[in-house]
Amino acid sequence: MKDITEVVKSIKKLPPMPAVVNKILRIANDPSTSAKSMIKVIELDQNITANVLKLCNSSYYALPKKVASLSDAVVYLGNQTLVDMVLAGFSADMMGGESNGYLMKSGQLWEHSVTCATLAKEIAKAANCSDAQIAYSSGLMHDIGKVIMDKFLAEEVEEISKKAEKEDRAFDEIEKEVIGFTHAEIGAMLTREWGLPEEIINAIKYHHAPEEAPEGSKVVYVVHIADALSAMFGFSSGIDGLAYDFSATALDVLGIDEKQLYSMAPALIETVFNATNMLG
Amino acid sequence: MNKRIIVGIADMSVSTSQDTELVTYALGSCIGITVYDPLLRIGGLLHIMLPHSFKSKPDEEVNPYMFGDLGLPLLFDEMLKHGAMKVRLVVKIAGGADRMQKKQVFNVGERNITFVKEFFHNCNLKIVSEAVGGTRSRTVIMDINTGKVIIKSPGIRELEL
Repeated sequence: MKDITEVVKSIKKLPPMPAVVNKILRIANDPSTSAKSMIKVIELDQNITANVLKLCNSSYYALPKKVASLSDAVVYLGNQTLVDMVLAGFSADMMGGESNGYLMKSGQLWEHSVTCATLAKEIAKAANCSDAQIAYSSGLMHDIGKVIMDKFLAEEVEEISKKAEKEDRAFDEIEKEVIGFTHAEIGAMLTREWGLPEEIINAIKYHHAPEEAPEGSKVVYVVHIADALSAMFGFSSGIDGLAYDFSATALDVLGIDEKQLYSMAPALIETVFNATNMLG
Repeated sequence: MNKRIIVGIADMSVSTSQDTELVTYALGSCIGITVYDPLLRIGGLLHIMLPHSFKSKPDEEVNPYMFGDLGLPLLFDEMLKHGAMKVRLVVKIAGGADRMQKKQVFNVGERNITFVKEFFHNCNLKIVSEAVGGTRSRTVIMDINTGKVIIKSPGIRELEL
């Protein structure tokens, strides 16, 4: 078992979430937010602005002319895409490295996260959830705890993996048993420290056990399903693989039937490829 | 050093080049099917996502390699086109992992395995070796020169199929 105060220390050591990202998350879901006020927020951070412009000019969008400013970007892409770009750029910085604990090569955790976010957004729309943007952000951040968990796991990972396989139990259950906490719990602690909205924190904390989440939010179920789909389609190549429980009620809660999800698969995969190519 | 041809998700490749290996990365619920003609040393690898094809819209163009029912016949066609003979084909499969669950939902891996096994049974072709099911992700590497198929999963020793 590891000492939770060590985790808190590690969280404090991480660079804080850029104020811009936090602000964007807060205003993104407010329909009264104007493009102008969004631009004002993003402009405050030079790195993020440069990142967004680079993405806008990538071949994926094939825009008719070079985008030189954020106001051009909004005209071509709309508010929502701009928000996605800000978040995806930030998460690439946070999650782009390799993981010794989960045995992932550099970029794999981030690729999984973008895939999950992209799927979450589409699933939220299919389930008529009003907060597709929150679903995207939650999907992007759901495994952020793995960044911290990584070093606590490094020595024990083989034991955890073997135990999970031998006893036919979920990887996070054994994480809790051996380490004392799960990547989902750490993710929630970290994002609470960052001051993210409660709905996102809950989606992160309960993404492997959506039934345990405080009632009311469908986003946690959306992320649960998106995470599972990403793993099924090969976008989760760590040592934990697919070794997590799938909630028996998730599809019912969202009123989505399984066939409907599969019929979305070809288009979903196309969207995911575009998103990861664009940002990769 | 072998040349590497990467077979993506919902993708297929057949090769006759002896200095080549076919690779498909990180199969989750998807299945990688390798076929090999040892006499002519021709190998093929198909990476399917789902067992049965469908169209979301009537006029939609589907990628046949995404689905078992469309992709597998194409894999055969391509092998035979290169001179391979069905009786000589060595078939191996890998993938078909699933989330853990109490209720039989979302078991694409299991349904993929069932479909592929039935398909080969109906063709009177034996699957000589397999690494399917469970919860691990698998990378498949096939050497065209020898027909050797290697499976890699994070955290465990690689295995020859």
